[in-house]
Amino acid sequence: MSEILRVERLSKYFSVSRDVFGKSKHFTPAVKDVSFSICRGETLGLVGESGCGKSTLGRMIAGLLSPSGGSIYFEGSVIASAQHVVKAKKPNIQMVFQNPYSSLDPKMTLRGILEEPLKISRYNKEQCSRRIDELLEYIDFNRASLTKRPREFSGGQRQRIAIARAIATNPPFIIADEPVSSLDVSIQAQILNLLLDLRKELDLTYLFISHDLGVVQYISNRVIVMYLGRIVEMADCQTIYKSPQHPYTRLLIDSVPIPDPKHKQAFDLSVTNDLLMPGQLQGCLFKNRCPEKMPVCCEQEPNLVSCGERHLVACHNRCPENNACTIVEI
Amino acid sequence: MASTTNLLEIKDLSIKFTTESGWLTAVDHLNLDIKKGEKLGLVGESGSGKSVTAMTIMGLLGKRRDIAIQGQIMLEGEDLLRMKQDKIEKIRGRKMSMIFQDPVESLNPVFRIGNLVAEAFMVQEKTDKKIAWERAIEQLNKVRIRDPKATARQFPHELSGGMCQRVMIALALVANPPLLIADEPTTDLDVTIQAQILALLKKLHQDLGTSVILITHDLGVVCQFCDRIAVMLNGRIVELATADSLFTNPSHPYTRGLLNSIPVLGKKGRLEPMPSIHNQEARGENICRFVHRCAISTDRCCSAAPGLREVLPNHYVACFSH
Amino acid sequence: MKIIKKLIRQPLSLMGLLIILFWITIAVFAPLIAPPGENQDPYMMIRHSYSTVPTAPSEGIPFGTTEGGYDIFYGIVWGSRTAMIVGLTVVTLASLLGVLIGGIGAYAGGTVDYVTMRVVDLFMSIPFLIAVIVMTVVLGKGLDKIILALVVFSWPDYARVIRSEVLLVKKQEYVLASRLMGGSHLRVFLTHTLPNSIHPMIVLVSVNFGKIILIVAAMSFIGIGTEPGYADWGQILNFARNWISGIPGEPFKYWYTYLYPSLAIFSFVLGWTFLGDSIRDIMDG
Repeated sequence: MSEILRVERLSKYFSVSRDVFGKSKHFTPAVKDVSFSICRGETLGLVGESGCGKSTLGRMIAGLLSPSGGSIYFEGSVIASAQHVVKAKKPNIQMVFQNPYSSLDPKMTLRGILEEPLKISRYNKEQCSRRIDELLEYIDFNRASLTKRPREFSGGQRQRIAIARAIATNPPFIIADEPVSSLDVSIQAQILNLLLDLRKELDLTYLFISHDLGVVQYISNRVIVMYLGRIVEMADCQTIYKSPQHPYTRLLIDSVPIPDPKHKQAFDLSVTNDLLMPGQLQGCLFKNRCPEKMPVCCEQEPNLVSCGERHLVACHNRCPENNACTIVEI
Repeated sequence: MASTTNLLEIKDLSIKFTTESGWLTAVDHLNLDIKKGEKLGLVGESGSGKSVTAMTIMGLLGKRRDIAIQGQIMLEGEDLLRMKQDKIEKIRGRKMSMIFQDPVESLNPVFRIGNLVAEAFMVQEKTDKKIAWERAIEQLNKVRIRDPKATARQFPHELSGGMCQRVMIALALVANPPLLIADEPTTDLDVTIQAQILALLKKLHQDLGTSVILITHDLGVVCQFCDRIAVMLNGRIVELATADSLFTNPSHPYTRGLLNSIPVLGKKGRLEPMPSIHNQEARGENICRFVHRCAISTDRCCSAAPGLREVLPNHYVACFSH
Repeated sequence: MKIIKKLIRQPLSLMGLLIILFWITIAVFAPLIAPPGENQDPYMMIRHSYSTVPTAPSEGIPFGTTEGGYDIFYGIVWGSRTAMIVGLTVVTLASLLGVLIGGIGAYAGGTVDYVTMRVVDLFMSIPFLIAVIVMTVVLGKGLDKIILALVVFSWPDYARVIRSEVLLVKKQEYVLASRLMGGSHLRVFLTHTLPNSIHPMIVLVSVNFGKIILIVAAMSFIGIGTEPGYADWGQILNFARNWISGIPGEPFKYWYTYLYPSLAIFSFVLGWTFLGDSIRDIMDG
């Protein structure tokens, strides 16, 4: 499998406050030193709770935000580096957004929505109409819907339209940012299956962003777990669910309620402080909630190290002699 | 369970809204009992009428011309629907309370947390300010808020969503009401925080003996939290059973469809979503609610509405195939 | 189209629509209703005499004349054209200017937005009426000068409204999606951002239409508007200034000099305000 996208030490800082002259004074990292790569045909799941930087990461890769540091390579060439986004010649990376109600222009008809990417990519009239027919077939719509506007469709239908628009110009890479989290469960399954079918049929590569571990497990080959802007664990899908190494990953997995009465879960009643104060940024960011906290966790930030085949984790406990471990360079 | 008495009895409840295209039945001849000290789950997708039912129990819909409510809601022998508005307001908080999906929006942003809770004590117990403040801090301690004295001096926007939901629970339980309705209390929260809130609700339920109606779309949450579960579809209950029985023997095709639609951690295999038909939802009087999406529907399902029947002990299903 | 249907269903907006329609008809058929004399500028009121006293309505002069012998009926009819022309030009030009400056500023964001908004602040901090009066006095009499002055000082209103809309719309995901497809900023701005943020402008335009006419009338009334004799409602009122109190014993002797032009202005402004308010209600609900 060849590599399609590679991210190197990518960071994004947002300014929190500005001084009188409008210059940024404080920076908080939304994403910090994130590196990984995705192979063609693979689906990489990006899991984490709200505020972990997963959406920011997705938008940087899409080119909607410029990184503060690091670089992104697509098919070997740089598409974004510090403070700079290279203007793409072809729309290679497309996105499916979370909210199907705000991702379609309410003033446009279905035809207009599907035509837009084609027109921008200079399809002629005949090519346009042929492609629209194909797209309608992918998402199982009939031609009569072409004159309808977004408000006449249900949430699930809109998300199908958004997917059709994303694949319109045959991009090889799709970023799906929480594409099913605002849908009812029965619709969720339809959309997930549609994404799976399209991946097979069109040889797509997905970056699938979600907070729902069940959904990510269903669709992904490999999973990255993020916590407060850092990657804390990265492994194959099976590995991460069977033997999670980072305490945060374990907490996440144990917190998901399972619809199985034989598997009674006893949720921990202890309260954790989920907000980090500005002074607590050194050391491991998970230290306040970690059941296995060691003195070193407050002083030194753990590196992402290998702890098995294609399995990386950033935890001092998994690698007691920190220096003996090989720090993996991707 | 026969020995326990019913706290709340919903009898033949129908709720209709006027829309531009006529009356829309949101809840259709609903019958449901909640026993004392029970944790009941109300599961369904959007538009199933689960939240409307909760709002009606709480008397939050009020008397409006565009809403028609029929039936009875008996709370400890009194019919809430025949009660005057000012009396319902007195009962609210004392006998029943509710927490909502968005805790940050539900708290008045201009008051300190302590004042919000103390105010509730002053109204419910007619205590003076100082005692109320002390009681408020006790109450915050009860919902496991760390350092309640410091938190009491903070404003809602300074707390995380999970903390705000704890404050909402503290507020709801000020007068130890026998009934607590939780409408999607953890939907907006992160999964690790959701687990904490569910654990807290479970603990409070154990300590105080409060009956809880948990409304959610998440089958995992009801399975882990509730004793008994009612599955709702387009305003009707299609299956009602104990949690164990429902998940081991899901009997209504809709329940089975739901269970086949959710990706469960640790399980493999392709999801089998139900077909969805949006433009012609079955909402008529004499028709099964699931008929258009059902794989095993017959002609009979189009001409009569199946009622709930006991197919296993304490397991009721509204489907002709049983 | 739905909006028009709803407008017709509401009594208040229907009344507004009917009033405006009435005035449009008058304006369009002005040459038939009150034919101008030969070799006469139709926008100058017909003069029946040079009398210093107004004359009461009589045959051929249905509304009477003002001091100086100007025909009031003719003035009202042709004045409706003046009102329409002034209102239409001012709101069109001002809203266009406002949408361009405010919209582009908001879409571009950052420094561009900052600068445009400070310019808007600057204009907004000058008292509107005084600024317009001073500018007209400097430029001299004439309709074109009034229009220019009104446009210059009323566009910031539109810029502010469109800005807040564009700021909301540009964060919508369909705008981001369009950028991802490779759409240029101009394309995204014209096809997505603008059409979705233009709504509140319609309300503003309708309400401002009436307001503009009030201001023009006020200016003509104090004598700094159109040149003397120009068919303009404010101008007729100006001629009535000395006759409003009547004569001792007969306070309403010269009622026709102020009643007709007042009614014209009143109904015209009311019509536009009703319409604007109804559109706002429909959009909010």
